[in-house]
Amino acid sequence: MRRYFSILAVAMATIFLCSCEFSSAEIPDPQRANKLLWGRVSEGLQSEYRHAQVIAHLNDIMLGKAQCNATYGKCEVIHNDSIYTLDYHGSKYGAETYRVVTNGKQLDEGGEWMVYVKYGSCMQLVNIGTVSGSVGENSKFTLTTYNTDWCRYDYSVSQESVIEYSVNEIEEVLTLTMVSATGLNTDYLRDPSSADYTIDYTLLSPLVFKGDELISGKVDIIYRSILEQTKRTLVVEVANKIVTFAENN
Amino acid sequence: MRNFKSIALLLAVLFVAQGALAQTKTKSVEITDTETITTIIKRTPHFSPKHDIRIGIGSVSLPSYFLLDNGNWGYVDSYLFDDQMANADYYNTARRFIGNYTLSYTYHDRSWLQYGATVAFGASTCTRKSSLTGEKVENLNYYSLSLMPTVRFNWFYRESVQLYSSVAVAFVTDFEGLYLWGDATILGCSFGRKVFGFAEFGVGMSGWARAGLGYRFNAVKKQK
Repeated sequence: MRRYFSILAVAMATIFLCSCEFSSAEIPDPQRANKLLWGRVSEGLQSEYRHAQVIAHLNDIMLGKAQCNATYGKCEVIHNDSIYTLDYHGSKYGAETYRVVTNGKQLDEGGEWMVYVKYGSCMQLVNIGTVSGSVGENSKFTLTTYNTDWCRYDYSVSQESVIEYSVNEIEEVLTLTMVSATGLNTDYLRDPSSADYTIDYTLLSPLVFKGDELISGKVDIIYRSILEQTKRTLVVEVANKIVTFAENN
Repeated sequence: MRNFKSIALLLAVLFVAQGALAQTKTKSVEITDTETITTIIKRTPHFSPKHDIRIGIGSVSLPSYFLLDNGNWGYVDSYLFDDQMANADYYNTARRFIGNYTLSYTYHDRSWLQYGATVAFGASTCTRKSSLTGEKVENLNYYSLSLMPTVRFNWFYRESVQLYSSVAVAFVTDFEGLYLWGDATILGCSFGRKVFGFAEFGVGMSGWARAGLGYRFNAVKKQK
């Protein structure tokens, strides 16, 4: 009988030890909401920065300071009776095609130019984003992008930034400074007729990008959840590649 | 039709087996000398019906994942940014399975057959806390309760050791809905006479591995 109870005790101990966790525990992260919010905003800023990189490159091409090459994808000049266009077929920075239109002016005659941005998921070349500037202004332009990607799901992102850039040809580093920028991010995923949430952001101090990295800057963010009826304000400061959050109640 | 034939064959095998295990008598003849012949007839003891009561604990099972883990095979974040923001200031502790606990009664009618019912209770615990303060916000415990008419087949019977299998239909509630599941013991072993221990391997509401203690007593009192 003692042997039987020993066997039973071993069996029960084994069953007890096998009492398992179904899933791993989440860990507390007080900054998780702030990181989520900054992540969404920085996605938009990075997208703006990528467009700005290409625009800066095209601007230098128009001024004869740079050549199209394989690094930036195919680049061709199309002559037309009324429109002088420079097509850039590159996917390095996300958007599939940029088209520069100078409204009939030759590149060396000065005047306004526009850049149209096409996103790969939509087959039509639409006026999703535009850049305006003057040929001859070699380091400054205003970039306005408005993206409503109806091809996938309902959201809209609008951004406007004033950008200055410089190129260090020795180090081959492009430095872009967003002198000012504002953005509005709105999702309509649950109900196309009303927004889920909005995210507004404005720069408090310029954002500086060197190469592909954000080096410094300060952004004020306001997040409004239409569904939850909540609001969160956040100031994000980037210095020496370190990001800090300060909730602005 | 195919399933009916399989069930009919199983019942036939069990019927024949119970006949073999029923009361048997053996006869032997001894010749002590040329004039004396002794016939000895031995009878095996007649089986007495018994009541069988058991309590046990079982391990996790497939129904446990559905009923006690909200059907989650692991936790998946919502892809909606609004949901992520709403949940970002909270976190969940590990969901821990507490066990499947059973209370069973069967009537041991024949040496090879028992029938009765089993009640099983299962639970898992989890707590939601604030990431900012660490305070508990809510309990996220899950419970299940099932009632199972049970039939047990003893395919090896001795007074102190028995091997068996069982099947049961389970009427289950997680206190939000009513469901139909099942339970089966593929291989079970009990050891002991009146007070006994048991260990089983099976599938269903009781868990894949079970063990416990039981008590059995005669259904009919012996005449003095």
